[in-house]
Amino acid sequence: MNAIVLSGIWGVVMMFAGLFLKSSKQIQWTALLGIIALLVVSILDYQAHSVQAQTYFGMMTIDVYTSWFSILITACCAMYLLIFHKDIAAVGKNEAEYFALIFFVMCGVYLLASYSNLLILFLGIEILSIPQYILAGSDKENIKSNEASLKYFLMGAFSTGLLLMGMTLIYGATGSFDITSEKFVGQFEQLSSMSSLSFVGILLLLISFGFKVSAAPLHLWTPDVYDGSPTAFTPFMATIVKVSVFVAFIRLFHFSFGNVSDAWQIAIASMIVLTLIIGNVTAVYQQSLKRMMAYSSIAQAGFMLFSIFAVNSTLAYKGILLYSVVYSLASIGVFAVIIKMKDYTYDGFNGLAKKQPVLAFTATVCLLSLVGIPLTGGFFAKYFVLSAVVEQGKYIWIVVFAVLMAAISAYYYFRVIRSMYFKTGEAAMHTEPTTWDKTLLILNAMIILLLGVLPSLVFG
Amino acid sequence: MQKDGLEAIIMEICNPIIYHFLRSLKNNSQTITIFELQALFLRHFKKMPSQYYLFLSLALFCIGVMGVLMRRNAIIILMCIELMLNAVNLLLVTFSKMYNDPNAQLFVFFIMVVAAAEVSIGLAIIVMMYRKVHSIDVHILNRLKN
Repeated sequence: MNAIVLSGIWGVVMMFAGLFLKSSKQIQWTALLGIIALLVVSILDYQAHSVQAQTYFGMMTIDVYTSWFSILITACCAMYLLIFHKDIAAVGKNEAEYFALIFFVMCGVYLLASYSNLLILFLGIEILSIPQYILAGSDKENIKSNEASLKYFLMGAFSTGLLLMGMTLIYGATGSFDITSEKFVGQFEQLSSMSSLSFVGILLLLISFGFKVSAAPLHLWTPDVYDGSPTAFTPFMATIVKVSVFVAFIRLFHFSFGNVSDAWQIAIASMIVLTLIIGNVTAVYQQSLKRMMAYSSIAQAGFMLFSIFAVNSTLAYKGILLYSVVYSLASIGVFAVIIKMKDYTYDGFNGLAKKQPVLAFTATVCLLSLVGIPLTGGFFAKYFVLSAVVEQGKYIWIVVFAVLMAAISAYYYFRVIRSMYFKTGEAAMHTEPTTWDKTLLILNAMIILLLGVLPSLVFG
Repeated sequence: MQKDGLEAIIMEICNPIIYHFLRSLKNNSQTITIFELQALFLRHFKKMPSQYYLFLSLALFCIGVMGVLMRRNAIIILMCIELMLNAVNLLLVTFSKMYNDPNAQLFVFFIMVVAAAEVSIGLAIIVMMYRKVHSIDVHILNRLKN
């Protein structure tokens, strides 16, 4: 798995780049070079590992699924860096360090994609989280950024404690950290033979997972953190980090705890219901678009939880892959427009369609994809995760409920489109988009539309 | 060592230190060497079932969780998080001994390293916050909202 090594090394390279390269442009180009190299290396990894392979003393399992996910998530990160690299450099003085931290987060993402030992899961989650605490507080002069950073740190460290306790209790019940070992698999063969330690362990893991993906009732930090962090980093936290935590836990819950799904499915079901209600209803009342996107990311996490909820279904894996890519690209597209604006409220977007037709069009495509309108990728993403639950045959009512909630979400997404197209006003820009920005945004929108027609492209 | 009925009960219920303390109060002729004491400790703790450690570390963990949820001072919250992590460490060592498996003790080292990294970041964030608002009370954050 060369991508893990390269992402770690490139993080260090970026830190040295801050020391030796004088101009900001050169640092940005180094970062872009790094992410392209990462993409190439992960594609090479994919070709090399056509069969399942164990590396790092059996602590990591690399198969087609994990290396394909690595490619997709690296591509999303490349899109993010290409669109936002100027804004990242503009956050503060230490631009090289921001890029370095992003590369360290990518290292954590690769670990999470291919762990087969609870130790690596723990390390991956920590490597993923710790750089984010710094990124959230990187706008040091802004008190909201400081607040976001402290809040994120306290919540994140607390959930790490719960995660570790869960892992320890599961170790106490099984006697092994290796999720593929016989002892581990034997413990979770059937519900009646499970010890009470593993029940509590699974529950604690679930709580910690809820914290990391901001599922209700553990979502309370999310709006403040996403709103307070610099706008350049919010899409990174809301998309790439969140979906990789999902992919990590789907492995654990399906492969290891799949046979004892009766023990935890009801907990996930209540999490889904709460997340969908709280995320969607609260998003309706927001005035700031950035805060609305924070609540919308909570609501979308509710939909992604369906893929964990539907056990032993191939549709669930397809669903989470497609949902990861489509949701990441759509959120990145919306944030790319938000960051160009001076005023983040709905009124600030009035009349954007006349002034910047390209930006308004790409934002519309992304918002439609977030709602799940047919012909955009979001439709098939929602379709796959929901039909995985239908295929499972239990808890059908929750699907009906989710569709109703998607209808509520249409209200606040369409409100942005109405502001842009049907209201008159002076949409004041913070920075004027260049032709390069517009090209990338159109490319982003085209990928979303293409996935709406040919969703099988992301299944590999 | 001769033990009458009462002393045997004390030996069973209390820990060896109290036992020896009582012995020395009675001014018995026997002197206690450090090796004897150590042997007594080991004998005693080998008999101690691992549930005791489980309950101890769960209690420590719960104290940590309550501290995080109830205290307002950011540094005390950080200390409570450390308490949670150390409870986990204790439990891991217990299980390691129970299963004769060194992997869990390795896990403890990883937890220590990560906790050190986390604390260094956390203290830096708290200092940054203090410079702005001259307080490390986390309730002040609620007043900043919007």
